[in-house]
Amino acid sequence: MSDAVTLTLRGPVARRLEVECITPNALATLDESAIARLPVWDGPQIVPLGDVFDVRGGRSDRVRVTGDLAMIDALGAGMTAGDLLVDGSVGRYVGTRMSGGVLRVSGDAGYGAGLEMAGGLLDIAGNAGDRLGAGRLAAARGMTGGEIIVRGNAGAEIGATMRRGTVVVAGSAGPRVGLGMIAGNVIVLGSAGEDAGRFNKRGTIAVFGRVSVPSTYRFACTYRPPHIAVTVAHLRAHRGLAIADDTPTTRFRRYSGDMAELGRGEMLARGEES
Amino acid sequence: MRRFPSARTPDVQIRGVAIEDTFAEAFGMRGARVIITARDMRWAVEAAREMTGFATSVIACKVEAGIERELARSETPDGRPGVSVLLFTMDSESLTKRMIERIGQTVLTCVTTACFDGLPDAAERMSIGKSLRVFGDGFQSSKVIDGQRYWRIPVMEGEFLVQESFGNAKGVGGGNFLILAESDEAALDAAQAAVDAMRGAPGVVLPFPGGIVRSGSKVGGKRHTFMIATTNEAYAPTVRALTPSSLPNGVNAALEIVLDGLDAPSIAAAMRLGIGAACRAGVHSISAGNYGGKLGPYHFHLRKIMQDGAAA
Repeated sequence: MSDAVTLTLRGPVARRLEVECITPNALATLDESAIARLPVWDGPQIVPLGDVFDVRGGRSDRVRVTGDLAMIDALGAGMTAGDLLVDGSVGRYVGTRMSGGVLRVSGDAGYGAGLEMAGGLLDIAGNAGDRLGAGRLAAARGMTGGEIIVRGNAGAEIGATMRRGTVVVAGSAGPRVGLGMIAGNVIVLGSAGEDAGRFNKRGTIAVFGRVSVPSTYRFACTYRPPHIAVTVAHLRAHRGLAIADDTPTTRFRRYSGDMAELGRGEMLARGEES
Repeated sequence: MRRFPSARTPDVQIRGVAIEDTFAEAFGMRGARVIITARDMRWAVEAAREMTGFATSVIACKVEAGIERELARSETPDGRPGVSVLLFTMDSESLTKRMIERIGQTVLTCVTTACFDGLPDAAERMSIGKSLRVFGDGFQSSKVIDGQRYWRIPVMEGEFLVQESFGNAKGVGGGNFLILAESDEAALDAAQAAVDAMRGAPGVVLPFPGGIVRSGSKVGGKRHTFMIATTNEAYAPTVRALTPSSLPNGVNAALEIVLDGLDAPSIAAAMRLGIGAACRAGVHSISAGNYGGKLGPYHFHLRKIMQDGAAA
């Protein structure tokens, strides 16, 4: 048993590799040689993990992955517990379907980070790609629990069809934030792109910067949303996000929508309308 | 019948005030901590005072409650000024009822407030926000933030936010000490000093007006037998000539401090602060009320508390 398992990419990877096998809960039960034999998908082929990564340590639920991981997909997919640190930027589907534990990415994350996530914490220090915390295309539900923090910007359709949980983007988000959102929270501290909140049923979309409110939303009032104050206090205290501490005293414009759906969702806009 | 010790030759003194060789007897209760926040401290305190009003004794009020302390913005879940309130009853069922009644009538109704659980680690939970949510008549909604569910109830100025569940923990009720003084002024000065010293002590509240009790009672009545509690004439100086008295010579007034707390060490620590402050000019001695050790499992021995501050 070691303090941590360290996986170092042996060299540049020409094709996308899927490494669903790399989860802290799985590695916690395996020694170094067994970890090296885990399967990695190279297209339709399976190659041993040890051919791709240098493996150090075993039987630990603290895992560190290093190297140029931009072509490495599905890191931490389905993880249920433990700590996974991705040292650098990573490819697609990081933390997809994870249900527990903490997954930190020190760089950027590609498409589909936290896709259909059910629990735990996914913390991305850089930017995130499209469909962060969303569902697979045509899937009925996206994220159903947990918390995603993106300290940079995020791409399009974040939180699409999400059912529960919280997605926080410290920077700005691309178009169609919360597309078809069922419930849950999407907090964008910067601005949001076009068509935010389309087909939102009961979800909360709070945008601190500029946002264009769709015509299918109805203005309710300006007020101080108490749940946003609790969320911001949590993000400041436990996630280290440098959000101005004036949130409890700041008014948001509340819009109910999407009236094309249930209309029980809300868009909370603090900044100017774009 | 609640028993108070007879006067005896004291051999432990603090600044010339005798500490009786006796103990306060306390009993188990169920307790909750409620965090009330508001736009500013004025309204947090306003709600807290309303919530803790008419809550001196479970005998008639069904609940004992008090303000524990004021909270800075950095200490509250929503980053606003707040007040911590403790409530105690004799069982879990009644605690849940009183919480729903009091939060519903005194916090929900108070402008700008929100209401949070102050015992997040308590294993036993009470559905409070889940019950209060129906005031929203279908327009309420909930949010899960950091693993906790909150209910948003629409009201005329915006929304009332209340946590779904509150912790229900073991508590201790009936911690007490008596200040026996040469005059009513000296007794009140000492009692006020004790209350000031105990104010903000963690995990403890003083449920009586200003933290002080003048109407020490005994169980039942001798003449008015239908009464649950009547005056403890042994400590009432005006009837000293008519009935056996427990007041030492030279004592013309007595006041009692009653404490409820989340645990015995918290009560012992607060008693130590209070007794220490009460030992001042004009005070004859410090005593305590007990039932001979037959009623409650918690015994706070005054001399032990003052000597080492340890829990009884």
